[in-house]
Amino acid sequence: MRSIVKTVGATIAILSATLALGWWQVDGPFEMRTEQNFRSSLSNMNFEMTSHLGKVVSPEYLVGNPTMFFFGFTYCPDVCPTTLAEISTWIEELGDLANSLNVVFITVDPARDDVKTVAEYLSNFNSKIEGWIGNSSQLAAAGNFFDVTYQRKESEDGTYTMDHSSSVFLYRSDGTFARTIDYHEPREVAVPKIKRTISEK
Amino acid sequence: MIKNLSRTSKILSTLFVAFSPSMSVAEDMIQSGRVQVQSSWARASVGTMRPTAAYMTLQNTGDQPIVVSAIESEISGKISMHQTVVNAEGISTMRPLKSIDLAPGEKFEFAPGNHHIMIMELKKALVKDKKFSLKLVFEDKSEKIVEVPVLGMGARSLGEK
Repeated sequence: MRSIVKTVGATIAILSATLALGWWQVDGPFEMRTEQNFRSSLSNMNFEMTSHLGKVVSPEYLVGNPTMFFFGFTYCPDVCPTTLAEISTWIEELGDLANSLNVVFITVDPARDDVKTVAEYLSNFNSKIEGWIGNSSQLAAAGNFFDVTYQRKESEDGTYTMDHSSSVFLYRSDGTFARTIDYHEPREVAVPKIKRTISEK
Repeated sequence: MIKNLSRTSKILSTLFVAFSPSMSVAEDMIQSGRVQVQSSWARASVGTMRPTAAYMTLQNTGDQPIVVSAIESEISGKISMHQTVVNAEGISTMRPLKSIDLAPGEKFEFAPGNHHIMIMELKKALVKDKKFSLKLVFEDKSEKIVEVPVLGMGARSLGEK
């Protein structure tokens, strides 16, 4: 009997330690220190782009609702469609909670991705996802504000691909930066992060 | 004439019986005879101007190593094997794979976000619910044809959509 109590006790202890560690890594003090303080608020991001629907858009205009940003390009055969498919399932899982959420995909390859191509590409994914296309200086501004890296990489065969940051950036409805979702994080981690961002008014 | 025909067929069937066991031995000798392919699928393409990717699981069912040296198809002039790698800073990049080495019994998985078969310069778009074939070419020049069903652009595995 005593050994059962011991085992249960040890299991609870291990579980709590794991949960505490997870909290500390995901949104504990560590996150506050490393990210929140030096990321711009959306209200300071004074650059404009064109949406896949042809409208003039800017992060400033999104303040008032929570927003999710991520980067990619349509010539990308693997990681971008996989991310878009993944994000589409997150939106479905959020259901009504996603109603107020802005979801923005910014292309890092404006040389090949125009409004029409991005619109056609996005028609295959959840319709909440908005595509933004900027010229190279608008994209550079976005890169600076989001602290996102993108770089053209030549292939041996004369074509090129774009190396780029694969994280998803979450902003609260007041425009402040909340947290990121990293590329390999599973849905069980990603969806609660979005929910938390939506609830933090 | 009829007699001749029946004699010919007799010779042919004798030849067939005589050679079929050695043919299956030959099958075991070549690399394409020792690979099992499962769960193949490709993602529908945006027209022909954008590249897309195909995925599958390979397993070496023999007791000798196998090397996949190339993948070819009539649907595209340019197919290559790649790996998507995300570094510590979260930057994703693609690394070409020259070949795939499979030790006896070993499995190799092409899966979204990791190893993939990149299909560029499509001659025609890959349309959802259609099929096409890919050819695996092995180090010993033997080949294996793989039927690949096309799933929607939002698909993440063969099990979904």
